[in-house]
Amino acid sequence: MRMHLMMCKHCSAYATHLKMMKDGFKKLFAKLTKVEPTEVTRLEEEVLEDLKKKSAGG
Amino acid sequence: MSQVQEYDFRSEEFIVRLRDRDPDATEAVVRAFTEHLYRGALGLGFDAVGANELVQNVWTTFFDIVPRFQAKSHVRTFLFGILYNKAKELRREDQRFTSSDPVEEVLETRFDLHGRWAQPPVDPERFLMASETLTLIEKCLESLPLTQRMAFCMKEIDEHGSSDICKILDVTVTNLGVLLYRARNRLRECIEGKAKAKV
Repeated sequence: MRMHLMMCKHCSAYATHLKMMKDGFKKLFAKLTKVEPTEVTRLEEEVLEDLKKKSAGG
Repeated sequence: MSQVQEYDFRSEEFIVRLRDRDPDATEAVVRAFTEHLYRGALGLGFDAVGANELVQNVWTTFFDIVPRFQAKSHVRTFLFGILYNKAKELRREDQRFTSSDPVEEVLETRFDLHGRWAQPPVDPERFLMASETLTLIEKCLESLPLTQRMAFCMKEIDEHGSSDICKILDVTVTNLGVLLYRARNRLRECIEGKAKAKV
């Protein structure tokens, strides 16, 4: 396959597209999934509170 | 906030405590994995409120079923499996693995009968401009079915191992390969379409 990619400009372009796409999506996900530590802590506390109530309720 | 002890989540002793719903063990996993789950939910396209609800749902379900946790996989993998199933319920998408996908018909038109490119890919420079426009590629991502999106994110972005992804999505390695093939090509076709439209 490496030989083919060296010789075929279209397949090489396709492979390059996939690499560019991966880089682009990594940047997008870094932006979409950026969270503040305080958000996470608050969520953790809510979860633990709910589970405590569930446990007490049986 | 109590001081959370460091635990070995794979140890027999910890697993037994988790199954018994020991409060310290439960708190340890909540503190260790809530952020991962929350970011996973955001990555699946849920907004902050939706992601918050989804994560709470995941933990409630985990707490209900943890006595049956067999530790065949890491507790993180188990949690992400719950996340995926809960996300499917919320999205109400039919996520059965299908034998075909519309992108496969599109790909067939790209090649002639001899297997040569009939519609070659656009010049990489044009593709690059489109792939760097985050609002544009976000729209392409939104069009992916949930299972393909999750497979793509876990493999390409988070770089999970295939074995873990298969357990989370409950698919075979072969099916995972097909999901990734479809996801990559759907996204590539979408971005290329937008790259061509930008001229």
